[in-house]
Amino acid sequence: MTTADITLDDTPRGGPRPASSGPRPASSGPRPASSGRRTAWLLLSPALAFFAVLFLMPLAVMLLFSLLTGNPLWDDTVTFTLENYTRMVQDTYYLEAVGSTVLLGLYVTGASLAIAYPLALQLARMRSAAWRSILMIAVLSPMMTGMVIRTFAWMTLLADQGVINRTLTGAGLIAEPLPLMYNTFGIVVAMTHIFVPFMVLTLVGVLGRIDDRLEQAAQSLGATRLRAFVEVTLPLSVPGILAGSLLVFALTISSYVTPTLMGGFAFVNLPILIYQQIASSFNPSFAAALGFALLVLSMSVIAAYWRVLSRVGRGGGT
Amino acid sequence: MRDMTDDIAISLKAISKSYGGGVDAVSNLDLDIREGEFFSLLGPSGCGKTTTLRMIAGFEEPTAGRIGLGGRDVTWAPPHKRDMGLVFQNDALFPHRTVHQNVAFGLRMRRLPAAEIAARVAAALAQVQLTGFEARHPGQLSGGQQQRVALARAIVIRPRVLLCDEPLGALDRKLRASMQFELKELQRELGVTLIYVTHDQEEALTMSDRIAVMNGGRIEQVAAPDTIYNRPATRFVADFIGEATLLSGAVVRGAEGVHLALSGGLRLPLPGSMAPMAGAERTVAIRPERITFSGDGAGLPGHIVDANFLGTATLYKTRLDNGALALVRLPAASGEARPGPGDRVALSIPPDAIVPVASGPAADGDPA
Repeated sequence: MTTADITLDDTPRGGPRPASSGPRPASSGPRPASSGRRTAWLLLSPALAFFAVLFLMPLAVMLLFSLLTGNPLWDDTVTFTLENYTRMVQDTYYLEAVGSTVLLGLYVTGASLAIAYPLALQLARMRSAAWRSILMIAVLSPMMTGMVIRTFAWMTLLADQGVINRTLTGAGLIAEPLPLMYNTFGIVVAMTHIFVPFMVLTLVGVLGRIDDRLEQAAQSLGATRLRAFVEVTLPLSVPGILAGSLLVFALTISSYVTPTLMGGFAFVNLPILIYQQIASSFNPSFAAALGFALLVLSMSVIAAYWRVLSRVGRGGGT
Repeated sequence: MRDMTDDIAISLKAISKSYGGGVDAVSNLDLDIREGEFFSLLGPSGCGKTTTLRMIAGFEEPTAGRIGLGGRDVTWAPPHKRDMGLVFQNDALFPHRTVHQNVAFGLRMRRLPAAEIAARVAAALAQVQLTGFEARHPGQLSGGQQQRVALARAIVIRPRVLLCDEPLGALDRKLRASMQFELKELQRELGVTLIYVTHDQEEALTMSDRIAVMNGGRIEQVAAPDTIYNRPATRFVADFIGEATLLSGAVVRGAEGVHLALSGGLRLPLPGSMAPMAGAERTVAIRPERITFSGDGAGLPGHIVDANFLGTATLYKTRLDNGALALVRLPAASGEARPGPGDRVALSIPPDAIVPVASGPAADGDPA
């Protein structure tokens, strides 16, 4: 996903409508057009090979596994079945896991957006290039530390015996430690911390290209500063909001480490379920089916994103 | 003074703007712009003209001074309470809105009824000859059309004052000329006070009722275009507007009148009006079309360095015998032998073509 390339052109690049690809000297001259096409395929082949071997093939194997009763490598009584999928739909435990996966994605995306948008706006409008760089480094620097380490840092802060609770109980402000960890709240806090830089980067790219004279024009026409922002900057930044949200949402619903560490056993999402099925239940077929559920979830979000974006791109947004 | 204020649309009193760091972007500016006037702020980039406009619009706050709009003090009023239309160099149209929505924006902010909005938008678009373009997006219009939409968007709110920041700067020469004409027509039709920021002296001269020439954050001269051109008050104005020959020397009163004693013993006869300046060192400016080559050898001696054929005229760069440069523009005439580079000439300068100029806006004594 090259989210930085989202523009408000009338022809969204890579959008559902094929962009009119400009003048191409395809059939001009004696050189056959197929020669250029062959070069194109040649140039594409490394990426295609990589994609086929490391993405399409595993997906195919996964699809196959999800439709089998067991592992064909050591079990020769294996047959085709849809049981892995029916189990998922019939047992509310798994449906709840899907629900909490989506909910966590929404929480983290919402929190990241709320924190990142004002920050990105400030960054994009900063006059001094030096200060902009310094702030940008400050925003991005957490990314230089591993996700696991940052999660552990949050654990020392949010645990029942952690910094915050010990301070508050020590000060006599609370009797019982606040439930800051081993629940959805703790996961959202830690994951938002991890994903805010992604959101900021995506938003700064889009916000930086919005001419600040547009808001000034709106103000000169009688709009207050807030109104000018709502009428002009906000709608123009929708592609950035969508792209950043998509990125954070997709990363959140597929995350495993932070939900496990911050959630303890109180929280189950699809990645945790998949891991359990492979590592403890030794049921790769069901794990594969769950994996497909996650994939369909991600794909439908991406599809919705493109739909909305192409509408905004055509200017039919507001 | 009190009787004048009714005619003043905008008054700037001792306006200064400093961004810190020593140099003022605008310093101690006094300006009165009359109701219904086409007023230009003209100067090179960095002269403070755009900063001045932005302070009038309310996007910048002056470090010192007051801004009055029709007798009301608006120094600290936010932009949306100033009732001014604004046209930017890049049209600053809302790319996500149609032409109609762009033009209707200001009316919508004023919460006018839908029927009135529709009628006024249609009228404004008709005024800029863009009827039928309502449903298009700015990206689907040409540069000139976009600028016209921006203009319609600004005039539709019937502002007291229309502020234009080099609105035609991005257009090509030909389109620009026709837009200049249209803008001037529109301004006259609407009777709106228009403040026009430009670095293009030709544009300012052709369109304006009055021009303020700015340099280094100060006003060099405020006057009508012909005065600016023919009677430049300062050396900067003479140099910036059109072409001028600048000569310096002591004003000497002799038996045969007043003259300027140039270096190298050259004498330039001055108009009698400069007699009171006798004894002072002065700089004078002469427009190139007012100088001719004299047939009888009387005048300032020199030789031609360069001759540029301009179509309707030829511009000669000449070097006087004392080393000073002078520009002479002779209208094109057929069948006449014209001097070329290297030829000796004598420059004939009629005294009434000579304008004394001050070295800067803060110079002592008013030369005009």
